[in-house]
Amino acid sequence: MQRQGPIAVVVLSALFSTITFFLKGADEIQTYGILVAIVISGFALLLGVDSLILYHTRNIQRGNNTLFSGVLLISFWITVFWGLFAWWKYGSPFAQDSTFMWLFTNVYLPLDATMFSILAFYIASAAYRAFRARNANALILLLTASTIMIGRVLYSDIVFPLALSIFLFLAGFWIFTNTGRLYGSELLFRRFLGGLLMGGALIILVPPIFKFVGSNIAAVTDWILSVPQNAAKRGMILGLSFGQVAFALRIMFGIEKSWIK
Amino acid sequence: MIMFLSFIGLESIKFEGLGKGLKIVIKYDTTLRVDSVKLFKTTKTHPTDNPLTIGTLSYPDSALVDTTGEDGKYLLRVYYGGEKFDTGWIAINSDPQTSIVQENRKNNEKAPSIIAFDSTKTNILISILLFAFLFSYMLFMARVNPNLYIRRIAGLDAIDEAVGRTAELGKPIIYTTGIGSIDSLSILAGLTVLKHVTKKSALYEVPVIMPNNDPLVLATAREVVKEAYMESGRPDLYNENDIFFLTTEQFGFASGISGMMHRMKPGAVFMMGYFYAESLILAENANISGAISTAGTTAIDQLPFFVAACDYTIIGDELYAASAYISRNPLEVASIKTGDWFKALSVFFVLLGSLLATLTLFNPQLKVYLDFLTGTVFGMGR
Repeated sequence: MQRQGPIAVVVLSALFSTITFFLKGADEIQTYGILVAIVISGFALLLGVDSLILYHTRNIQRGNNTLFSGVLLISFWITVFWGLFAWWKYGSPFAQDSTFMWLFTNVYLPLDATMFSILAFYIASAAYRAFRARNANALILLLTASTIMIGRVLYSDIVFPLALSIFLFLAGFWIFTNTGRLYGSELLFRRFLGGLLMGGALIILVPPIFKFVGSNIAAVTDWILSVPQNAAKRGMILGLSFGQVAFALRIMFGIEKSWIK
Repeated sequence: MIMFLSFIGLESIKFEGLGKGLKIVIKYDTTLRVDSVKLFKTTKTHPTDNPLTIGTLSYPDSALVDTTGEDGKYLLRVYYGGEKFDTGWIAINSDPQTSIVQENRKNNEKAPSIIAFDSTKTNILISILLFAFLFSYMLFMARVNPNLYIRRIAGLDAIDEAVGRTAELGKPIIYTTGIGSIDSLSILAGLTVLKHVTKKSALYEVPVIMPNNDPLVLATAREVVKEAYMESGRPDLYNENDIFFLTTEQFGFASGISGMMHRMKPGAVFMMGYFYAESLILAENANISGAISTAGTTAIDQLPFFVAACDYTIIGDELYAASAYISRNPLEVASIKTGDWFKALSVFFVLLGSLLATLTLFNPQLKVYLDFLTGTVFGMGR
């Protein structure tokens, strides 16, 4: 019964949601179901608070991360009492000029913004590792991502042709000079390819071609985003949707039971 | 007929004289979501079978002005859910007086609502029935031949390697299902993988540390881990303190786990569930701490970050397939196969639509079939 009870609740709730989805005028019943879920999760927050306090109190008792756990518990109780004080003094802790809102605006928000800002550095370090042309796929990723990044900045009509020219010249120079163990036709081919790329780099700098490349880069980035990128994204969304339906059916029919004891 | 305005999504209609015209103001009934309202007028020169169209209001616009200046009757046609409903003809003089038409309901009495099948969702119902039929067939096939093929998923195969390495290092595993509550399918899928990871770690006595963002996920995760240890025959390894609540705040959660990664130096970090902007913070910190990082999410926008920063990534619906892939339970494998058949069916319809759209350029008569496919079959309810 300990196992069948929750499964029965899940099956009945799922059937209820599915049936009301297909009914016109059943919005109120659905809203009521959502309200029930909100009330349950509201009570569940007590579980979280209980876990948080117990976990960090035990940490302090065992001398494990005492400083961090101590700071957390002190901050927690200060916030609680500050909120209660603001409630008593201003009628609501969320009143515009309440002391609780001061704490929120001057302590919580800057900390939150700091963590979000750190993301920029993580993007740079992840990009550095990801954008190494180790194989053909990584090279395509590198070229496409570079095109999108440079093509969407301010003055991209000037920056992109310049960057493309520099990239082609450096790539051509590397191919032209790295011919250590090559002889005969292979050496000739590499020299030809390197020369071609370096020549291409110089041709891009010719004003009409420079202007042509610069004026079309916005259209190229838009095309990459709206056609190949969007196609891949939609394919994934399609797969995800069917995966979700299959997973939901497994839960509804009690086949998927690993979430339950 | 005016008595039943609430049935068609309106609360009242106000006709207000403007001197040189009439202003018509409607008030929507919020219990029904109207798409648009069209206003018709019949006069001596325009009988009811050929009325004048005064204008159309799209929700939530609510006012129209009739400048024809003639006496006549008005009719409002309300559109919602692909169907249309008329109020009936309302006689109003064009003098500068105000008339309000509304239902004669008692105070605080709610408008009666009609519960009926929503015909605009027929295509979804047919798809679900077809899915259920295919699912039953695949279940039958799976019982006949339990060894149905599922392609290799590298991220799931790597779990054993990650747990083994963690055991060699004598470090713990950090596991997170990301941000969201227990109603998220991605998080439920993450919990199924948690069970497998815990069973593996029980073999080597590797502790699994799991900070949580949601109390309901916390309670479920504790049950899952406890059950996994019991199934492995090591209930003594279960420590309730290893699965704990951190915070509901997104970046607080990210910084909390990042701090743990730096202090504990885990051997492996698993991120299986639903993630938002914190995905890269977690993945990069896992990398910096030297752990094997395995991520799996259905959040398409976060996948590139995981692919770039993690050692292994379970992409999109592979996470939903994880449970079937790990357990090889024929019932679960059947549902994966059904999903695959539906994907094949979608590819067929995408190709058919593309072909029809291309051929319509050369032969416009084919537009009828294209409209049927995009409008009736897939566009129903839009």
